[in-house]
Amino acid sequence: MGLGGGTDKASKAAADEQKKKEAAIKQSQDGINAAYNSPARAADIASYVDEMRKYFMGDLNEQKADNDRNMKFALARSGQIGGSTQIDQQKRAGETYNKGVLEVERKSKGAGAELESADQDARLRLISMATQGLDAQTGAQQAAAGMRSALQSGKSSALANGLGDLFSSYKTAYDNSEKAAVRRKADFDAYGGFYAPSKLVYGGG
Amino acid sequence: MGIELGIAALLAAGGAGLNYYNTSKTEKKQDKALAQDIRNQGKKRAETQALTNKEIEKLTASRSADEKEANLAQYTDAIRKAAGNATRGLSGGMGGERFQQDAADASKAVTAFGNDRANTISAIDAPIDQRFGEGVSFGNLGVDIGNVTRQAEDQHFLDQLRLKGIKRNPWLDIASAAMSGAASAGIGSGGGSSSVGLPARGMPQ
Repeated sequence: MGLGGGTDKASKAAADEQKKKEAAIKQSQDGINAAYNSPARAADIASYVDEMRKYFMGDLNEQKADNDRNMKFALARSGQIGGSTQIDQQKRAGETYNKGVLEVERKSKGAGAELESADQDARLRLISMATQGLDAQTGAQQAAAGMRSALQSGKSSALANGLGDLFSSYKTAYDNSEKAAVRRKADFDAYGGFYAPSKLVYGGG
Repeated sequence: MGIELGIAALLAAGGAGLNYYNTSKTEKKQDKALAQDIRNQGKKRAETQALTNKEIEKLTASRSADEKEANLAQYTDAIRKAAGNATRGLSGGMGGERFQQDAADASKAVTAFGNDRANTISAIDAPIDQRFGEGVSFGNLGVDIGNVTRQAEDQHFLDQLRLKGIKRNPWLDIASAAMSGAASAGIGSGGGSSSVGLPARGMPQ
């Protein structure tokens, strides 16, 4: 109360506004938290992870199918079907496939985590904005900028890199088997048998 | 002597009373103006609150289904446009009936694969696009809040000008000073002359 008495309108107004402001901040914080913690949003992210998994698994299964086909022909060309080499090769291919499955899972979950991280970042910035009230412009701009930068990195890493060629190391073996088959055929055609004469013996005569 | 002192005391009390009244009146006016300033700022804060609440409502209702639908339409359209190139070699009248049937089935499979992949990719892109949209909306909110903030600053400036413009009533201050001065003069003269110029008894004129 002021010197003259009855001069407490400003302090009452300030107290009223403070109460309203605190109630509004709580309401905003609850609303923002509810929006980001909603089951629907969680389901959206889970669906995103599932689609990511589906996309990468499709790639992986295609690669595996191609590799199985190439291996089958390479082993057949080398006459190694049913041998220990077939078991070794297919064991290695199976292990590579399992590595791929784990990589798919890791990439899918990582993409989901990036999305969640972007959401959490935006949530905190929006809460900060709601708390600041009239100074909220900066908060909103930060929220927008943060969301954009987080998602740009997320989008670029989501599909751009893909799985890569997981079975690339087998390619040399398949190429070699083809070359060996061609060489064998040439030897057979030239010398009438699979065993070409040694260059030393041949040249030494 | 007693009467003069009594008058001087009355004048002093009157001057002090007038001063008190003036101070009290000014403080009340200032208090009222300050309260108005606080309430005006509160109204502006409520405006930003309403904007924030609207944004929270949008955020709560935000789902990636719309983005998915829009993406899917674009991607499916792209697949449809490229269908001729994608299935080239799988159409035409050459070959037997069985070949033509297999080629037609393969052509359908190519298109189905394209559509399936379009569906997956649109589902993957949707939540990212959704968050881009939310980021843009946060940016717009920042601009809107910025506008209200500037209005609030202008209003505060005007309210402060009004507050600073509230001065003591100079006429009351003059009257108060005159009464106090007269009282002091009356008391200071030891009752020899009153502050209102009455001749003092027993003193040479």
